[in-house]
Amino acid sequence: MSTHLKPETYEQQSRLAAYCRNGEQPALDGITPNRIGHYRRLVFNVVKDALTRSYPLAVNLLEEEEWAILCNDFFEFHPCQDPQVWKMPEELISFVQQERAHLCEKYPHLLELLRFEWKEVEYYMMPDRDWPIASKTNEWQDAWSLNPESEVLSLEYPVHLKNARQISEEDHGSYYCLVFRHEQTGKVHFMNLSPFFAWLIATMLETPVSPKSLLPVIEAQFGISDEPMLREQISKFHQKLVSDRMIR
Amino acid sequence: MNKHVGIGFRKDFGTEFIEGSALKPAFVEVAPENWIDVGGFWKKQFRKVAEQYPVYTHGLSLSIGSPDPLDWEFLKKVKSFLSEWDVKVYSEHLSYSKCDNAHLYDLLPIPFREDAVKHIAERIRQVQDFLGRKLVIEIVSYYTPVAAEMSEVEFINAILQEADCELLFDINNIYVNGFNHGYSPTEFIDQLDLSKVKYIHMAGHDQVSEDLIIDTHGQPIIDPVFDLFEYAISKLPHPVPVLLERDFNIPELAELQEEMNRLESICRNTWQHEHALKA
Ligand SMILES: [Fe+2]
Repeated sequence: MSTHLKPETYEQQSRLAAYCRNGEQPALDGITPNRIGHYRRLVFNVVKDALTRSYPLAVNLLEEEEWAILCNDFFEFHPCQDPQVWKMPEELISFVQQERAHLCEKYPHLLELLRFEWKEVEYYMMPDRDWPIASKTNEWQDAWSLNPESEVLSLEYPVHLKNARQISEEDHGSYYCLVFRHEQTGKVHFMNLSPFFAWLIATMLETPVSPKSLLPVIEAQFGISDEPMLREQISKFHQKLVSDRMIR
Repeated sequence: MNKHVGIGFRKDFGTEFIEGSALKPAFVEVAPENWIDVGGFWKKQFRKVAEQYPVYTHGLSLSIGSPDPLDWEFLKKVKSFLSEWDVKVYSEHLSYSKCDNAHLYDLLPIPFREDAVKHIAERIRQVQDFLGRKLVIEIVSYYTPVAAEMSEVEFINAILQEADCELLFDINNIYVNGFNHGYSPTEFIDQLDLSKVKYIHMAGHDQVSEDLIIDTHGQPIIDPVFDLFEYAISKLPHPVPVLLERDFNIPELAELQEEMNRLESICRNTWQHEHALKA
């Protein structure tokens, strides 16, 4: 703290801020008591609105009261760190993970749903990334010019395929999903992937290599040795990615 | 054409603003926090706006009145944003929005006290040194004083004096504060150091009870605030840019243009002998 600010002034500021977070009547000097509540209301509304806008699927999954209590407790007990309010909702994920064991138990896919929803915000908003230089494109022999604004998600629940309210323990398993921002519209797309294509894309996003050069690894890891069949499958997949602007 | 009057650019304006001609401000104002680290669709839109209009900024999270240390990482991002978009003005609120290491994302009233003046003036000077430009601080509306030991106008004048910063003269806020705290807005203006005024804000508000107005920016400007504006600018030593703020309850863009036209004509009548404002 600066040397100028007196502890008693700091104390008044701190009490008003604490009141905005916990709603407990503060001991403040010289206030108009029936008006102080507007600060708590206005501040909390900003936070709850930002959270609600970022996580519509989680809002729908939780009971109304559970969501209200979660927003309230998050704001009261978690000191929000990001100066940009639209980035702040990401902080809810670790709060739920660390502080809301009972919610995670009741809704085993809640954390994954929150992460999934945040990916959409993150990809929609994130700074532009440069595309790799596109060279000639023989989808078998050349490395693919993949959209750098993309990522393969590995999931335990099909939050990308099913309404979160319909997901149960029976759905627990291994799922893969490609998330990418469409180059032209800027919209975020999700594409369900088989384990093989998830691996292929993840590998090629890490290092630009041609499918052909991966042949020995594909055979060792996936037991696929039928090269013509593989080439055909990969070619189809390549076409789909081109039409979705995942490949230039 | 508007020479003096700009508009707060909202994403809600949509492509109609960028591609249409219903709204033609002299400049646009944005909150850097809403645009820093943004790519994709909105970056493209922002670029189109910035190509058409000079960009002014009005920050949200600097929290100049906070007891917490300044956030230099954040200020670095602000600095590069200001230079990337050739921003004309960086304004911020004379309030605090962070305390005890927690952001609150709204504007809390600072105790009007001598120690707070010194504390804030020092921080403003540090920010100005770092950014290499003057900070333009805004008189905010508030609903209750907290632990005040001096008057609001004494507090503001003392900061302007000690920090050597500039003033964002928000006429609606002065009206709202006068109404909420029972003082005369014109007397307040008479006592204010107007030589520091760099920029003006105009907005609407919501009266929520007999004795309380909440500064929502969700309504058109009311006539008494237009009158106060006319009074205020007649006292200024020179013309300054004027911004229409509308954050909620956004009407047809043509309606906003009408409000801007009314402001513009008041500016022209008052400043007719002055040179047109250079952006
Ligand atoms: Fe303002």
